[in-house]
Amino acid sequence: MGLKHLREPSIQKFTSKKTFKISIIYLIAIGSVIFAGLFGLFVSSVSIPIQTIVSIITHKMFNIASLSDFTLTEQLIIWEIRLPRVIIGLLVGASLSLAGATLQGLLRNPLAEPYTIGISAGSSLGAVIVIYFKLSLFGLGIMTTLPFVSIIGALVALISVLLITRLSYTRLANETIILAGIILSSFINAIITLLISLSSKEEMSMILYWMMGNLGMKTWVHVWLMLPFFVVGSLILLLKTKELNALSLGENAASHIGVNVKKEKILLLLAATLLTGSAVSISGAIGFVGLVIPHLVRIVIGANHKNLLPLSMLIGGAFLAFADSIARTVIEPRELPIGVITALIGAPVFSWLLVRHRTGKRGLK
Amino acid sequence: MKRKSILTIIQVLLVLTLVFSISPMNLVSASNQSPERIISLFPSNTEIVYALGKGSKLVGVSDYCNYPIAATKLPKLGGITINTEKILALKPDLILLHQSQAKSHSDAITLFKKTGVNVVVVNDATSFNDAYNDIRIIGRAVGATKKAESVIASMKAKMQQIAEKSKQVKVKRKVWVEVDTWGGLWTTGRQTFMNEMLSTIGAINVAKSYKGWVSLTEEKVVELRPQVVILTYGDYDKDAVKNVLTRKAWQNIPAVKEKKVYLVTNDTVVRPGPRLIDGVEALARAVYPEIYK
Repeated sequence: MGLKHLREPSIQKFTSKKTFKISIIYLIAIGSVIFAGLFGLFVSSVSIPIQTIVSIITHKMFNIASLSDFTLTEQLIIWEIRLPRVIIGLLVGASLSLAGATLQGLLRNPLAEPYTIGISAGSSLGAVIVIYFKLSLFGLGIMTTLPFVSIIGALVALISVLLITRLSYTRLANETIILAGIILSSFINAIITLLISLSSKEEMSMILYWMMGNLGMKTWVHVWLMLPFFVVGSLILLLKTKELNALSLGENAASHIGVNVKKEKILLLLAATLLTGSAVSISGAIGFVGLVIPHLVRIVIGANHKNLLPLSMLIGGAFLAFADSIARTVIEPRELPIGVITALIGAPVFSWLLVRHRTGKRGLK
Repeated sequence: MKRKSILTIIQVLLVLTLVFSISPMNLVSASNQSPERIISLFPSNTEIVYALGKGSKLVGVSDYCNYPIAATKLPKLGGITINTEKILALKPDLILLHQSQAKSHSDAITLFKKTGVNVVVVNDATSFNDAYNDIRIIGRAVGATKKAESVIASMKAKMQQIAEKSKQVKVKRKVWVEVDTWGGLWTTGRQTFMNEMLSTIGAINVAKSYKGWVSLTEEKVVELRPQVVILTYGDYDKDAVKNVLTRKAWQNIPAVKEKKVYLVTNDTVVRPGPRLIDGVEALARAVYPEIYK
């Protein structure tokens, strides 16, 4: 995860050296995505030989290798359970981390994350409403209705935050957005708590488990559900890195270089909402990734969003997919809530990096 | 002086032992009068009281007491938290609690006892024998000792019948019990009623190597290849059976291929009360319809 590069004091003076360093970091990030993906496919609660796994996947994807050698059970486990789960892990991690990096830069606040500005709370409320009222739209069943309502919840939350901000202050000031987000979050959380306390024991456990976050029972349907939001959201953000750089310097600076502050802000917030809403609607509220991965990447690569955003995506995806593999294997075949793993691994690693970074800096001076 | 302080210490110790010794037996009151105003704060206790013919003496129940229908019409006195004021206002002479509540509500229990109410804490039951014991304890507390024995005897007789019939089972079927699908697939391992029920009817619980309530990964369940799937959350999710039958990864599981996915009412397989027999019978009919008609 690029840990080695941290130890080396970054005193490269030549741009060529710098580009070299950056490309190495990209390689490491891509490598860790591949590693996390393969680890998730190969290591799990049911042991299947790696060769079998590779053959099954290559067959399903390119129709090479013959399948007659493998049992149908093995094929189903790999293709219908493990692969979609790994992909969902990568997508959710990438979405949350990318949204977090964007919000931190946009709102110029190191504590900003998908959860601070109420998006995730809105998304959770959507899910809780589905569970509580047993909503099943168009005969889809509760499990498939949930993501739709949940994304709508996220969008409604964003609109409410923007409305509150707008009504209080015409300029869409950062602090007001954050305040409005916190107000909305606590309001929504109160509604969620109310629904929990009114629900039966069974519903209560469902809601609580959903809120803890989980990547189990995910199918290709969920992958296809999430993909459009992911593609649109991340494309917008990756194409807007210049504007984001400008905005993160301050709104005056941004408008001086000709950035339409209000318009870009709304667009960026909307993209972050699409990413967060779709991620939370599929996997529940998984903490830590959206807040900490962007910081971690920033420590290594700096605050330029041109590199920060894609790297946050890659590292976030790899991290979540890896954490999920741990969640389903550490006491296999039982499962742990993934939020436990993300924070248990993430917090010490992040603290260590932070300390190294700060002491490294002091050492240089 | 010295003697007096020793006496105080003994007194304090006595009070402490009283407070901390909330175990079922020593709380059953010595008086032989049967109670007239009973409060039951746990669903299975409520069911047992009705089965013992003392339902008319109940004056209040918990929010979760949903059986029999008569119980739902009584004042609700709380779920995870209990409404102490309302309970005392009902002037009960007997309060029935569950072991799991003894610790969480220990302050309330002390208070109840101060007002002279008889408090009986029923042990947590994970086997039929435990359940029989609970029925016996409640029988003694509500003054229906004989009725309790006859209820137990009839339960035992029915279990015996089922055990007899299970001898006709030639090849034991593997059963996967699914309790919940959120946060992993939850099932019942060893030391649960369902495990005991499955072994009584001559079936194999595929999760019997785990203890208590556990959640397994989906791929593990697919690997276990159960022949029958039992779902207990049908009351909540109307599409439960359909959802299991359409799970892509489950298409090679015998239970799904042969469409042997059935619903069983949750309350009859988890609540330690007389309805456990309904649960066993429903399970038996689902797993071996040809033997238990």
